[in-house]
Amino acid sequence: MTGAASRRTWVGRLARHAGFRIACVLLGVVGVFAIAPGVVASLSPASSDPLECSLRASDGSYQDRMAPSGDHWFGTDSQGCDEFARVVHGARTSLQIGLGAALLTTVIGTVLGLIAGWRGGWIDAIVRRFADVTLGIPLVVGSILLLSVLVDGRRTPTQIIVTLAAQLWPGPARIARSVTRTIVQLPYVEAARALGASNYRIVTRHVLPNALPAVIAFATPLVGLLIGAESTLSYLGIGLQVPSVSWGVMIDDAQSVYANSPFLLLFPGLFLVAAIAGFILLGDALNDSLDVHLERG
Amino acid sequence: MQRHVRLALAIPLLVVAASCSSDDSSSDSSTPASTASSAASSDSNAPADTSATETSSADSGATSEETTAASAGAPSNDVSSFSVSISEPAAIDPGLSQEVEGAQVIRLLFQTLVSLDPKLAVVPGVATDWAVGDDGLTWTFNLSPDAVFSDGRPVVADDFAFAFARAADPDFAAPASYQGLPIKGWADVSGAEPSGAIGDEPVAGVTAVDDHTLTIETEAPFALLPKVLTYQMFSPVAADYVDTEAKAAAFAEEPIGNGPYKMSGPWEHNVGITVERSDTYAGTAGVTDSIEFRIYSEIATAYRDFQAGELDIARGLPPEEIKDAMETYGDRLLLTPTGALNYIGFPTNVAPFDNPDIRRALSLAVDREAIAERIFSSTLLPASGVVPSNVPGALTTVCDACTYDPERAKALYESAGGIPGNSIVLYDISDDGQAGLEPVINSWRELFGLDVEVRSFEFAQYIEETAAGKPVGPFELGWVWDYPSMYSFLSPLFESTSDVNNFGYANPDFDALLEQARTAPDEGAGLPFLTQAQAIVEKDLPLIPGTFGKDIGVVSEAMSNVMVDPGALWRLELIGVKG
Repeated sequence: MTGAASRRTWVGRLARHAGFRIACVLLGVVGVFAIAPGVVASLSPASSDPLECSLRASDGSYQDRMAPSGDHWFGTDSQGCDEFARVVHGARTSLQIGLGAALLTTVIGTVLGLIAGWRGGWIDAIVRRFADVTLGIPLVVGSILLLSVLVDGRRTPTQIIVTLAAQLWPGPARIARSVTRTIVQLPYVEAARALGASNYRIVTRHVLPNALPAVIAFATPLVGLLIGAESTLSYLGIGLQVPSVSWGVMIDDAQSVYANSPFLLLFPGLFLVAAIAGFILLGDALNDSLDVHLERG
Repeated sequence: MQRHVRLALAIPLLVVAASCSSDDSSSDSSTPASTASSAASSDSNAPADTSATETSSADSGATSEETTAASAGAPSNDVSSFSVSISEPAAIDPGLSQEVEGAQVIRLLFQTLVSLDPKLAVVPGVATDWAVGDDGLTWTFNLSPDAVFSDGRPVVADDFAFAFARAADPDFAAPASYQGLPIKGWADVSGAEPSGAIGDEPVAGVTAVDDHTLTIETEAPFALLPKVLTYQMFSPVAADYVDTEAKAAAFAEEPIGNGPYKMSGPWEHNVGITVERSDTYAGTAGVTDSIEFRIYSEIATAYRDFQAGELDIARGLPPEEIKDAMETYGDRLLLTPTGALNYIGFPTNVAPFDNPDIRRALSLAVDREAIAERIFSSTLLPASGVVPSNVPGALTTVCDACTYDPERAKALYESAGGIPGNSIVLYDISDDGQAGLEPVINSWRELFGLDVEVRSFEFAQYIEETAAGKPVGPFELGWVWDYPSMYSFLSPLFESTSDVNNFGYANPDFDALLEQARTAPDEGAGLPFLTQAQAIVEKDLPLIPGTFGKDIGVVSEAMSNVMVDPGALWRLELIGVKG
């Protein structure tokens, strides 16, 4: 295998990638929101608590659906909550679900793909059939089904993560499987086997490291897709609910008052697009930089 | 269980917009080819009727002043007609109906013994006059000899006796059957084992003395009986119309009634219902020749059709459109206060809600005015008490703990010892969104530091979760009167014997006052007791009065003399078409 030299190569390639630089900026902003929402939100003069909402200001006047101003940078929503505080806090929920679901999807998919690709035979057949069936169900339809049947009462981020991962695992599974199938036939694996290496050792030392770049290149834009999926589900009323603060919930609230208060849709929408674009660009950049085949070429 | 269903009416009409299925039933916009049999004679009727009723309308004044010759889209033939949106009714058989969508149709097809005028005063219906005996128990109704069904058959006392027996019969399972309970013998019929045959067991207290005399005996003196009898379930039904299963099924689709209009054809489910003026009706004839009910599953779809000029009356508006619609349509947007109360109830036998001070503190933290104005764009009124102020005799002053007073709320909450664990469960009807509850939750969180766990259920399940004895925390619900009387609020909601008293509320003084109101010689004499009873409830506060309802709708420029009564019923028989 190639050593430290090649790692420098892909890091170097990544650093020079234009998409990567844009992604860094976008994800940097969203990331700071998500890591320290309280600190960011307290920069504005309004309350930094996204749940501190009141239809009336302290002087008794109404303060719902106010246009952006010096006090409320992003305006206020229908319940009189500060929109800036909510957008900032919403970043954490979105990233939490996006990253969590992507990680779970990747882990499940990779493990199943490795097993299927390594063992072949009936295990492979079962995993592939399951993957086909799962892919046949549209994400939104499947989510409605799972969330409405399995979840009683208030839906939590964990339930959303599980629901999404349960439907998206075939992606990484297929990649992991095909990489595994290719690698097990390579001479050095046979050599390792001949030298008496255990299955476990071969998989962890030879197969996994080779499958991983492709899986990561797949999983990164997936984070963006999943952030969008969370918003879609919340918008449709089957994702997170009030009082959870998420961009999807905010967009859902805003769409009914769009005609009079378009800014309520604009701000969560803007950051949602930024986050999704950030992960897709990053995924692109990683895909270009980590291309294993190219490197071996 | 059945009784709870009518609570569904209490969810502001806005809710319907949230219901699913996008069955776009806009259908063809052309005027239905109903027979133009008596067009000429009816046209001459129309102006006279219109002007006769004009004075009693608060809402219609402005619309009828408009002189726009909006002839665009008006049918070119001389049959006057208009279209109005409804949701798919639960039933248009009067015995099976208990909601306002079906009532819109049934009230045109049927006339009850006594009726309510647009101001909801009791006026003669089929009965020309009535009186109660000295014992206060036996009521005698003299029926008009001119009353006939739309097929020409005379309406006789037996038709009422049969309709009552049918409504009481457990085989028929009338959803509003409980309304007959004050009548002697009703409970015996409705509580009996189902026999398999409908209407076979007469109600003991109802006697057809002769064709035109009906006596009704009540279990105990019940001054409100005439008002109860205005309910659509008490419409006459001839036994012949429903004596076989096939005929009963046909009757459910195309009822034969005795009202100002008759069915033009069977009910087209999820599409529409068309009615035409009945030539046999002896009372004041309907103004237009025919009325087309278009069935919509979503208010938004109906409103789009209205905007496109394809619908004359859109009942209900999508909440997000209300502000724009107010500016666009001005007087043609009708907002009518109705007899609906939306509230947050307490399980008064569950700690800490058994403490009246806790209940009052939670109520004082609710900014009703802001919720009605800002969240509901003034389509609801802030509630001043437990009975809508347009109900005759209701206290119109704002009750002590029905104001928004954060300071007092805090002080009262603390002196009452607060709520252990600083956390409560709040029940939410998921169908209508949570926008109306959020300000309450936010306010409780801010003032008391309360952590509110919201439990959301769809309406059908919600009713089970919040049935008497079930809820462990405050729950949102609503109530609409069955007939315009304080009694129709106070008795079912708060009497200790009522099985829809979900609060577990019991106050002997209150019960005694209601008994006095029931046994008063007439409705007027009973009113002061009801007013006193209201004051007791508002002091005990087993619920947080939230908002009073308003009916909302828009009408095209061609409509005149549009009137919605406080029962949220559009008086369609009075509406005229200009041009």
